[in-house]
Amino acid sequence: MTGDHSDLDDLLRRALAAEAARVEPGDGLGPIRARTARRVRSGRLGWRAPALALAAAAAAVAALLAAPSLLPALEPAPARQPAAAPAPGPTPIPGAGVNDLRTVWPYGSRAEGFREAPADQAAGTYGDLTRPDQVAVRFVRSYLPDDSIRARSLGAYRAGLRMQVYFDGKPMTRVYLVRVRVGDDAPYVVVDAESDRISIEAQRPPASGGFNLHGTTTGSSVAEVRLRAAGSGTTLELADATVTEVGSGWIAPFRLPPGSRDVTAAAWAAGPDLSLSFAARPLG
Amino acid sequence: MTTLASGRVGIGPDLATVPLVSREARPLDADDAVTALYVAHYRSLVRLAALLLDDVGAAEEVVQDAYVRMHGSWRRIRDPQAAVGYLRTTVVNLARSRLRHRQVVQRHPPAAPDDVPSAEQGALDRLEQHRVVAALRTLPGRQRECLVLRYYGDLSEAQIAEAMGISPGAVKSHASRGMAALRAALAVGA
Repeated sequence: MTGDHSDLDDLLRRALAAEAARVEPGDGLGPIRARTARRVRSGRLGWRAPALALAAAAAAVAALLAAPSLLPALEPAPARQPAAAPAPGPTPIPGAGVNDLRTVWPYGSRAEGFREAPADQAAGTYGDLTRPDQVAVRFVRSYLPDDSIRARSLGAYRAGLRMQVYFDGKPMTRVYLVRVRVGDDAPYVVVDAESDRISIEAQRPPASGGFNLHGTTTGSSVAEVRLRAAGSGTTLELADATVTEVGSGWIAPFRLPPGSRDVTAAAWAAGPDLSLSFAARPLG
Repeated sequence: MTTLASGRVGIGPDLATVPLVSREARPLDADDAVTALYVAHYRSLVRLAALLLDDVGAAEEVVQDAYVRMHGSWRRIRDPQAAVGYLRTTVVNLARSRLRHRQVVQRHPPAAPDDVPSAEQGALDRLEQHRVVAALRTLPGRQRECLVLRYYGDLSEAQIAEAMGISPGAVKSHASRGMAALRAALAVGA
């Protein structure tokens, strides 16, 4: 479309991504709901509005009765022991009794979590990191801030604990957690998150500069992708890219600034049934 | 189950495939649509609108307007994928309308860049990016829309045409002229 403007293409893409990243909107859902409620009250749905409200309330009650496991969504996780064996990995963390591992939240690695989590736990920086449901929910909410996001345990996997996360009562992603050291009181960190309907391909980004991130979606034609990277001790959120499906794949162009490390990618999409799917993984 | 980079392998039944609550009989209503599409797309739409309007507050209002309109039109839209296109088109149209009435570009010249330490590469990058964004703000509205949708939204020509309500040929023309004008503006300012 732009002929031989490839250098300017790149510059413009970076400039717009940087400018957009400075915009952090406040809560918009409250005002939207207030306005749509006013439209309903003002008669757009006429006599159906109270009936719809009652039906929705009844459906919500029925859903809760039918699925009691939704009720204690933010209650402490079941007293299930995570796998005692350390996770596979080539580098033991001295004093932790486990091996190092790339993670996606709230630290870039298990070793960093082992170092930093005690202070953050004491300060409550990331909530209670010993509660897997809170860790899973806070992680997903760090990308998609919504109060209806909940989690419950799916039980242990070889290295830790697997959590099912729900949006509006519908499954959206499975979050994999590990503890930063041995011990039942050890904080959890997030290794990655997967979904049956959206995925991010494993790839190694360059140390800096542009690259295309690839992934797939099923049943959705639009996904949003975001990268985060650590650098100079500060976690940076780099860019959003709205990607459009070509077949079942998506490509999101990004540019990493020099000094980026521990790059994490997250992608999500709304499906035809209005459910959300979400995936995240470390890159490299 | 997908094997991920961590190399872990899940054990036990995959409970995630068992829905807790069957929603099959529940129709997709407008409130559900607003909530799901808000969570998935609100932030990026506000950012898109902010690039078009140079005003975050106005951008949020425009995007909220778009969601309210989508809510009102949900019985006609129904498909969430179509709804994303509807939202994007509405945002572009509402932003265009605001610009037309308020002439934001003329009234509010680009602000000075943030405090930038001149010796750092990152600061040089920010300065260059600021020049590009400032130059972009001087372009005619359609050219600017084309470039923002292309280079921030990563939309195809067809999608840009749909969002702007113009033909793909006109998208090519606006984008080409926009890039030429941008290059000229940056060359003058260099």
